[in-house]
Amino acid sequence: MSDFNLENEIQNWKQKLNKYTQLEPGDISELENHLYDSIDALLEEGLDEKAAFQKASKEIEKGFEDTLEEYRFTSVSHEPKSKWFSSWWIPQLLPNILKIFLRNFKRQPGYSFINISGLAIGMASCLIIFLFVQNELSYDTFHEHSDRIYRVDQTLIWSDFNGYFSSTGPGVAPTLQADFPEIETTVRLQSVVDGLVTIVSDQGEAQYFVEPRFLSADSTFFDVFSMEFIEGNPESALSLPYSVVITNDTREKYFENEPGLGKSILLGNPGEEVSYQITGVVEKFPENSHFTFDLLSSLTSNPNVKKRENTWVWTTFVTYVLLNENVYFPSFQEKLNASIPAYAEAKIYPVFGIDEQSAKGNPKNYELFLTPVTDIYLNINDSGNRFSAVGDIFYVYVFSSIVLLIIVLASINFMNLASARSVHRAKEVGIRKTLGSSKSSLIGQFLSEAMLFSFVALILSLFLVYMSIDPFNQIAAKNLMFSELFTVYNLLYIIGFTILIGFLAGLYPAFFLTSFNPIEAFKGKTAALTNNKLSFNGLRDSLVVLQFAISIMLISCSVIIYQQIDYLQNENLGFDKENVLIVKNVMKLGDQSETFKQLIESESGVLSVGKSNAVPPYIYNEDFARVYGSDKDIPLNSLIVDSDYISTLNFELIKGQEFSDYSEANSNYVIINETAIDQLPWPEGLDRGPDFPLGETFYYSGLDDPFEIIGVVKDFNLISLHSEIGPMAFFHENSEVFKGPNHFLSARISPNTNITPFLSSVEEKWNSMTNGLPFEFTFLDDQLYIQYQAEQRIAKVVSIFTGLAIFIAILGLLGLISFAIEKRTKEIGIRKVMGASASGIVFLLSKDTLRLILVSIIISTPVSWMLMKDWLENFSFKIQINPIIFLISGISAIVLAWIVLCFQTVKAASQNPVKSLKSE
Amino acid sequence: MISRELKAASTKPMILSILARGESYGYQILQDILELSDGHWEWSEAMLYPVLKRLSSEGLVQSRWEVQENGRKRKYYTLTQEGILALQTERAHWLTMHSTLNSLWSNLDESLIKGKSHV
Repeated sequence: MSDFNLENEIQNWKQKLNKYTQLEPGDISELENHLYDSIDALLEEGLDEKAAFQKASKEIEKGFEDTLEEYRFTSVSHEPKSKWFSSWWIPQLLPNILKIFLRNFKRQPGYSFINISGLAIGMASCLIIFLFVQNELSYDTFHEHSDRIYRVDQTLIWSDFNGYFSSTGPGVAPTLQADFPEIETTVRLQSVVDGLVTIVSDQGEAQYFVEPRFLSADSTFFDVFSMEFIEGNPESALSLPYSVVITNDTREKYFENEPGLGKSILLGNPGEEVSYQITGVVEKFPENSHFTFDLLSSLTSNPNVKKRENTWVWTTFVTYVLLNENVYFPSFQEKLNASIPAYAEAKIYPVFGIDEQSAKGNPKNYELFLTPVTDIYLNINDSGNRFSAVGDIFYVYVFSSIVLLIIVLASINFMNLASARSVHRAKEVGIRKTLGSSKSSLIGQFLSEAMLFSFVALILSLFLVYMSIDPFNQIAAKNLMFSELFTVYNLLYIIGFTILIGFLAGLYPAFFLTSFNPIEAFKGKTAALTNNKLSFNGLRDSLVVLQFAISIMLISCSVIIYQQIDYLQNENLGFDKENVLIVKNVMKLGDQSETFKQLIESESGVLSVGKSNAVPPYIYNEDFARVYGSDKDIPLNSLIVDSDYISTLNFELIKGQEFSDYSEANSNYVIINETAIDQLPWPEGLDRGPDFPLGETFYYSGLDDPFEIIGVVKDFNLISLHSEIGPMAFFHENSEVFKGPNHFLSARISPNTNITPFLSSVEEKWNSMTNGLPFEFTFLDDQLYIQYQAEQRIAKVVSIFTGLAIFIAILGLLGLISFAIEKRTKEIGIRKVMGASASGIVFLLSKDTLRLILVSIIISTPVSWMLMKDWLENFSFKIQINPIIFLISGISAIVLAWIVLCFQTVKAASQNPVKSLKSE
Repeated sequence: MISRELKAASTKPMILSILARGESYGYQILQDILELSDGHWEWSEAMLYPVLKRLSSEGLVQSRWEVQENGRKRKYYTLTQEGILALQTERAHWLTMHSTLNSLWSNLDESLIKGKSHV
């Protein structure tokens, strides 16, 4: 009794029915159900399971065999398919699909590996770039009012009114606030240039901190920008002069675990310190902010602001406005455009000597231009950001397109390989079709297989992202988190994207495979399958061409980008940037700076030492120059130097003499560059002899005495190779020209100096004179290098993704070629028997592929040429695109393909023909 | 016992008539017939299912699968429009036969048709 299992018996019984070919699965199920019903009834009558089963099955079997043939006479056409047997509902089919997927995976591991790994690499690239782009686009969105905050940019009044820049005079904000009711509030921000902070402990010990991220702001700051207060109150924090709000990190640095509120800090050079009271401690801004600070003081602390409250021309204030909630920004901008020129007539034009009439005739009128706070980081208006580096929307586009290309490459691999190996699956399709599978259910099968592929690839790609996110962060100088992928929205995007990829990649194979006529598929006679050339078929050919065109394009573009960056870094700037140590904050030495200079000069290995008020590339001392007899001013950049600076940096003097050649009376001498000669408004009919302009004079910065030109230096790139060379003048430090707050000491050292002991010796000298002021230094070449970091990073990222793209393309080619060779194994065997050499066979097999690559080169060259020409437009100094690059890129693609080809074909060609002839 | 031939001849009208009362399935149809005929008219499964299949191939009945709560799949049958017409024709034939036989039997000796003499 106990060993009777009803279910098993019924299944066995069913198995028995299966051998009757007359019965369809549906018939058997119907009979099975009948058996169950009968058994149920018998059980109710009191029979035990075994007896019930025996009785019921006997009932059904009575005369069963006699009627079997009856089943067969009936056509099935009116019968609905049993529900569970075939369905469009993919999840129900999943076990079946999975089974076939695994079977195919096992049967063709190489193919599956190529497919999945290519797709996974493509997806991982996509995910990383997705995070990157999301991060780039997320800047400044964390402010509560981010949709209403705008920065006020103005026409670039310091350079011919052409373009915008991101700061205004202190008078702009109060005017806007008073005259435009659309504005809820305004806030002005200014950098505190000389950020030396002294903390005096209870024991009276002083500690110095150099604070480069020190800002000053109106008391409305916290109404506009959202910040979390740990101590203090946002309403009142900045309302009094000499108040300062610090970040929590800064508090920890100064006071460790003690609270900061109410404590005092000293700000300023030794001897000139002013005491500030800490009125708040805040959590610092997240990283995706276009500016950040460690200390924020009240703007009223600066007495000059009060004095020059109304000027529009002291343009070091970054002004933000918070618009009222219902203000429609474009119409407000229009209103500004209409009314601002009237203000400019009073506030701007007089300062620049532009009268009303000429300003009206000038198409480059003065404008205030609002930039949404969320656009600042991406520099969409190209007006820059005074407080921090900006990103570039251009690179967001570049990365997105590269990644799109990669995913296209990976999908093409999928399509090509799936359709190419269709020969292996043609029989499966034939059998399925013969068994009555409809075309649509086959398409469903292949599409869902493709999606399964893409989901497996997704899992793999998540792993890849996890592994590579840190290296990527280092290269791109970002702080992307793997976990950011798993927000609800991102997950939805990712899953949608995976389905889309699976769908797109599977679409072509699905239709291609299911279009076979079953009979021909059985015989292996489908046209696409019997085509014995390595050129596979039309579509596949074009896809291969597309893949290679993309790869070659990426190769040539990354070569050109590299060349340009190399050029930027190594091009002769007009001075010698190597081996120059720069010591910062020399102004803090006060009168002793000359002594310090002499001490450094006496160091061994030091060739010469000069002082200046700025160092390349950060030279922004523009003011206006006017030649006597002309009524036109030109903006002229200036550098204030001592007698040794020009020779220390090896500026190339092409005419006249240096300051050091003149003795004491040199304070009103000036040395200019070639561009300044071109641009200074010399009076008409001036005699330009061979010595011109030596001995000529001009006025500068509104000073009474003219400056005499004693020398001319060759043009040099003082800012960066991004920009044109502007007019430039060297004034002597003893002249009356405004020197600004900073001073630097530049020491040229001999190339074989041992840097470490040298630096510690210099630091020792510094410390002996300053009593604990921080010693800050840099090297000129490092400092110049920083400005190309963005390009450097881009170049690295582009080349990495280029590498991946090429890898994917090669992977695809490898798959296609090995497939093609597999099909031609017999042919190769026969050719060998007939006496063909291995190299002849390699040539035969590679001919078609190489032809395709040639077509790719022809397509990709003009596209990459146009793209790169566009990109190079960003630079004032640029390389000429050398056509050889395209040739080399093409050749390298050919070489790569050839390696793959040879690898595969040599294997095939060197096989024993006996073996290959047996292969089918 | 009713003869096999008669059973075979009557299956079609029988099934159509049962289905005319509403949707049903194989086992239920057999049970209904057994009940209605007071146990005299017992069909075998072997007979029923091919007939159902034929009826559906002739378009007289249509079927659908339904998955029961216990997971078993049951095939339900209903009459089609054609099936209803076929039932009407069948009914007319059987009624004609019935009335013919009735009128024949009404003139016979009762002891003859009740068949007691044989027992």
